Amino acid sequence: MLTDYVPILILSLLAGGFAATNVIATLITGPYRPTREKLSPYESGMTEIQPPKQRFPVKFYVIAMLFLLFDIEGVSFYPWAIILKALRFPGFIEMLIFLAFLAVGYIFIWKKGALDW
Amino acid sequence: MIVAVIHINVTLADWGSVLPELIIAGGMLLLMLVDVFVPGKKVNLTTWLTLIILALAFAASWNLWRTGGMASALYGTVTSDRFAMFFDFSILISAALAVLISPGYISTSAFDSGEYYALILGAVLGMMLMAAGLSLMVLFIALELLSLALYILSGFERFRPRSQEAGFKYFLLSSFASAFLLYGFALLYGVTGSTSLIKISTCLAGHAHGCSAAATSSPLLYIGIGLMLVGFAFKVSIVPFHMWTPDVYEGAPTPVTAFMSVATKAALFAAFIRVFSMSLSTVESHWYGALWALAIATMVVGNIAALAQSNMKRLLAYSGIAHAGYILVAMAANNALGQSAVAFYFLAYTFMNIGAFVFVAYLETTGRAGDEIASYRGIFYRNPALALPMAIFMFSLAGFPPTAGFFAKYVAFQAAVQAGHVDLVVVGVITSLVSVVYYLRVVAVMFLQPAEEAAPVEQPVPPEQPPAVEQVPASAEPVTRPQLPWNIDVGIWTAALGSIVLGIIPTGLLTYASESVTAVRALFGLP
Repeated sequence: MLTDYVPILILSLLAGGFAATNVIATLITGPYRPTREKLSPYESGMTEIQPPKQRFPVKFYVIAMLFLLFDIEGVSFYPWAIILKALRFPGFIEMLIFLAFLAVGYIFIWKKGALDW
Repeated sequence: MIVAVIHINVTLADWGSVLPELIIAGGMLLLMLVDVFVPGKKVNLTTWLTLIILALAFAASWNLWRTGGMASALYGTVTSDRFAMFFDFSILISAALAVLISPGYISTSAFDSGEYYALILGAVLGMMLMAAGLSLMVLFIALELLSLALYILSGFERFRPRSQEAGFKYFLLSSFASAFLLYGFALLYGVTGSTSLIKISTCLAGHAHGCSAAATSSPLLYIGIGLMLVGFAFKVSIVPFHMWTPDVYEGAPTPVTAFMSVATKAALFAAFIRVFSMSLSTVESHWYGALWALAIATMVVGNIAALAQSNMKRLLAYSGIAHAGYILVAMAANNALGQSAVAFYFLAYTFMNIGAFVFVAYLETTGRAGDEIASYRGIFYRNPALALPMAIFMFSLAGFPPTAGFFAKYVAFQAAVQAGHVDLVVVGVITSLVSVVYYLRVVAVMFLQPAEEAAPVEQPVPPEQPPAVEQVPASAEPVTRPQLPWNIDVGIWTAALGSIVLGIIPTGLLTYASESVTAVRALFGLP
């Protein structure tokens, strides 16, 4: 039973090795000229260290979250498009219902002003 | 390219069996559109719409109950058996009662009413799916749906730090618990090779092909059951996974607390029973011990911690924990009577617990510190129409004879005795005696302490509340008995009536509860 996991082990080793190789290769071959800005951690275009109780713009998060939502939902159209012929008409209707849900959500965020920058 | 036709084997009957859920989902979309297209505050419009949608869903559930529903629909992922419908009734009634007390709350606090009702319906949808789920995947998606809506609802009063804290705390802890549950589901799937609860039960009973005979003794099964138990225990606030409950219940807006304290537990217990008592019934010995310990810890800790509370919402939170303990006793009995007791308990609990929250919510909208028990002094003399039903709820929660709470507890303990778990019943009875102390203290404060003292004593209690200042002349004249707004009137008397009627003539509903359990047991091939 454990032998079933050997391909997974090989894959993990390959993936880990690939990542490690890349990191080491850039360390060796790349030029290293640090500046203050370059060394600061990057986090969504915000200053990274701030007193926590402070107002900060949430536009980026709202847009990013909405993008993720619609992106993931959009992805589910791909497998559907491939097997659409096999699904025939009922499959088409079901996707339209899904699309209606998406559309209502889209209208909602639009009218709420979540897309205004 | 040859295209193999995939027959989507879904008939209209399949969709019919999720009609209540579809109505709620459609209603949710409708409310979202109303929110953005109808200008103004529109609290009345959205409240009525929500109530109508809930009533339609109730009618659809009732119709499914009448016809018996479909044992399994949509590729065996959901069911509309009577068990699911019975829990739907509890969920829908508690949602309707919570919606009824919302308008006053919305208009008096910094509450942006827009998405509020859509989120309530989202939570209802998740709960109904939770009660109807026959597949681990559906259960998890339903759980996420109801949790996400509740996270936002608990933090809905954006400008009140306690509400923010409640929402954030609930989000962090509860999503952690969801992960436990999901991990448990994954391991259960790994052992039995199916996400269908029915297939899992046939696999563990040793009747299925392609299912390893060693599945029942696999260590993965033990770990999976343990993880699922932690997940469920957290969501229904069972000791020692209850720490979030008082904070969240206190901080969340009162209508939301009322709704989630009952409906979430009802939905989660329905799934809990389906997974443990039904699907894993053949391996009862794996989980009975843990359930036994959890039940005892929950009853003891819940009741003793409630003794020390001075805040009504925290008291109700601990009382909710204690009641989860009694319900666990019924569940641990693991017989048909115990499962009907759980179903019946939730119907009774819906009325008495939400009733108590209606009382708190109304006091809060009048600008008082509605959740401080000390501020209830002599409320009977100022407002008997409010104090009398509250006394009924307290007696019912404590389990006094002519009320729903007594009968629910009685059936729960009777089931445990029938199954031979006398130890659990002894602890249950002793801890319910303890609970009488804190429930009756509330009644004593309302009835026995004079109203005249109320004004001077009340003032120092909520020091930073501006309405308390205006309130002094109002309560200085105890003769004026304020009329309750109609929605509070309807809410509180419906709940009071439910608490009494279920206690005096419980047989009819108890028959319904046992019919619902017969349906679900038949589905899993249990006698």
